[in-house]
Amino acid sequence: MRVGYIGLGAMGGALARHLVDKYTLTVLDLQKETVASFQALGAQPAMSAAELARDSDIVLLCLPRSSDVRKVIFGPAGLAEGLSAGKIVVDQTSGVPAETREFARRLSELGVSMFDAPVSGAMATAVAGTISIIASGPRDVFEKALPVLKSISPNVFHCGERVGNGQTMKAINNMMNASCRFATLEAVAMGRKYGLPLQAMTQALNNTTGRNYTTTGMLPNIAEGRQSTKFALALQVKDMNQAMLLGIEQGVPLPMASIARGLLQIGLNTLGENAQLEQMIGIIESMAGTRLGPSHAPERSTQA
Amino acid sequence: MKLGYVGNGSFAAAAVRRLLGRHQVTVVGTGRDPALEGAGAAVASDLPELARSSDVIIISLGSHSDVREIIFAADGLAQGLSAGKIIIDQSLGLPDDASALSEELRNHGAILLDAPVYTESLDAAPDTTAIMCGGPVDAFESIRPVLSSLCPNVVYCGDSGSGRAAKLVVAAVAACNRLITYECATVGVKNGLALEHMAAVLNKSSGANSASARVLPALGDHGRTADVPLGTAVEELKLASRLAMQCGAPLLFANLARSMFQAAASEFGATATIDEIARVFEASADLDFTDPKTCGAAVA
Repeated sequence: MRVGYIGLGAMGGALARHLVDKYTLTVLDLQKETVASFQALGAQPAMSAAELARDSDIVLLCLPRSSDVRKVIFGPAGLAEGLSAGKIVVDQTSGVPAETREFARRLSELGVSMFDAPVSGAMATAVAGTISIIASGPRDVFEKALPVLKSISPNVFHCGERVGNGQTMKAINNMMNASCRFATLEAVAMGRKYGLPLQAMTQALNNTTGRNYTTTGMLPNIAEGRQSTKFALALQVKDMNQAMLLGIEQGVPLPMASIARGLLQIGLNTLGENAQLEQMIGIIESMAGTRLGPSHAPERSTQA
Repeated sequence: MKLGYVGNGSFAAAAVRRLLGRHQVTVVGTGRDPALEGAGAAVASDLPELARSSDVIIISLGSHSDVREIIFAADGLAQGLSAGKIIIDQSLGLPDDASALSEELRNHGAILLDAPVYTESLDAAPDTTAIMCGGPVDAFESIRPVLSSLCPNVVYCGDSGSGRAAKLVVAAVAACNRLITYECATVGVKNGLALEHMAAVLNKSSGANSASARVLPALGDHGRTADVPLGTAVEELKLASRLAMQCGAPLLFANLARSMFQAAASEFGATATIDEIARVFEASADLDFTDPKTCGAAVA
C-alpha cells in the first residue's frame, strides 16, 4: 500500500515518522527542510497535493485547521485533482467535524472515502508511537486503513460510523482536560494562599474523587519545578473555541467550559501570541495573588 | 489507647465499627443514637465521663457550632478534659474556626486535630476516600493508627485548620470533576457521540478524571456512584466559597459549582444524592441519558 502524508509539522511529522520504514511514503509540507529530512529517511517528496494523491492509495493529513484541509483537498493542484475511485483520505487534523463531513461527502462523489482520525496525547507519545488515535467513519473503510493507523500507534479507537465523531471526541476531551485543569489550579491556588503545602493537596486530591489528569500530572511537576505541558496557548484557545462551538450550535449550556475558555483567552491576551500553555500557571497564580509551587519552573521566554 | 467517639449519622456508626476492630471505644449513652450505641462500644453516662475515660476523643458532627456545643456546654466534654488528651475533630467547618478552637482547648491542656474525611461513598470507594489532618505533627503521629483504621488514606496537611482547608480544596475539585463530566457528556451526546464511546476514549485520554471513570460508564442507566446527599455537598461547597473570600482567591469554577449544586438541592431536595445532578444537565439540553436511541453506540 502506497501512503501519502501531508503536513509534517510538530505533530504530523512525529506521526508520519512511523510510516517511513513500513510503507512507500510520499510527503508534502510547506517547509523545505522538513521535507528534506524525510527524504533523507527514504520518503519521496511530492511537488503538489495532486501529485501526492496520484502516487498514493491512502493519504493522511495533519494540518492546523479545517480551512487548511479544504485548501489542500479542493484548492488548485489539490488532492481532489489526483484522487481516483477507491482511494482513502484520513484527516488527522483537530478539525471541525461538520466541515470534515462536508469534505467526505464531496469526495464520495469521486468514489473516494474520507474519514477522520485525530490524535490525542502529548508530543512524547506521538514520538514513542503510543498516542491515542480517535477515528470514526464507515467501518469497512476504517478497517482498510487500520494497518496504517496501527503503524503510527496501536492505540486506535473507532467511535462510530459517522465521519467527524473522532474530531468531536477529541474536542470534548480537550474541553474536559482544560476545564478540569483550571478548576484544579484555582482550587489549589486557594489552598496555597491559605498556607497548605502543594504536596499535601496533591496527595489528598489523588487519593479522593478530586483526582484528574492535572492532579496526577501537572501538580507533581509543579512541586518539583518541572514543566509538564508543551503546547502553544494559541492552539489551546483554538481547540477550546471549536469545542465550545459544538455546544453553541447544538444548544448545550457550557458553564464550566465557558470559564476555562475565558481564562485561556485572558492568558493569551496577557502573555502574547507566542505564549505556551504552561505559562497559564503564572496567570492563575497572579489572579489569586499566590504561588503554586515552592520553586517555579523557569518561565519560557516569549522572545527568540 | 482508649478512644471516645461522639458523632451522629450513618457514618458515625460505621466509623465506630471500624475502630472497634483495633481499639477500645466508648460512646455516650444518651439514647439519642441507637445505631451508635448498639455498635458494640462501651457506653459512658455523659460527655464528661466519656472525656475522663478516653485518651483520644473523636468528634464527627454536622457543623462547627455543634462541635463547640458538645465541648463547651455545661455538661460538655470540657468538664472531663485534662492535660494530654487529644481531640480529633472530623466535623465540617471552616479552617480558622478549627484553629481558634485549638487555642481554646489548649487552656484545658487538650490538643485538637482537625481531621475531616472526604468521601463520595465510604463503602463502595475506599480507594477514593481520604482523611486530611491539621494540627501539631507529634500529636498527629501518635494517633495516626486511629485515623488509618478509619480509612487507609491519611494525609498530614500542616498546622491546625489545614485538614479542613485541604478537605475544602478536595471538595471543590471533586464537584468540578463531576460537573465537567456531565457537561462534556451532554455536549458529546448532542453531537452524536455514544456514552460508551466517550467512557472508553476519554478515560484513556487527557480528559480523564474521577467522574469520567465512575460517572460516565453509569450514566446510561442513571446508575448510582455516590452516597453523598446534595445537602452535604452544598454545605462543603459553601465553606469552600467562604474560604475563597477569606483568602482572596477567585475560585470561579467552584463558586459556580456551589450555585449549581445549590440549585439541584433546592429542586430535588437536600437528601437526594449528588447523582441527581445528571438530571439538571439532561433538562438543560433536553435529552435523556438512558435513551439508547440518542445516547447509545447504535446512533454513532
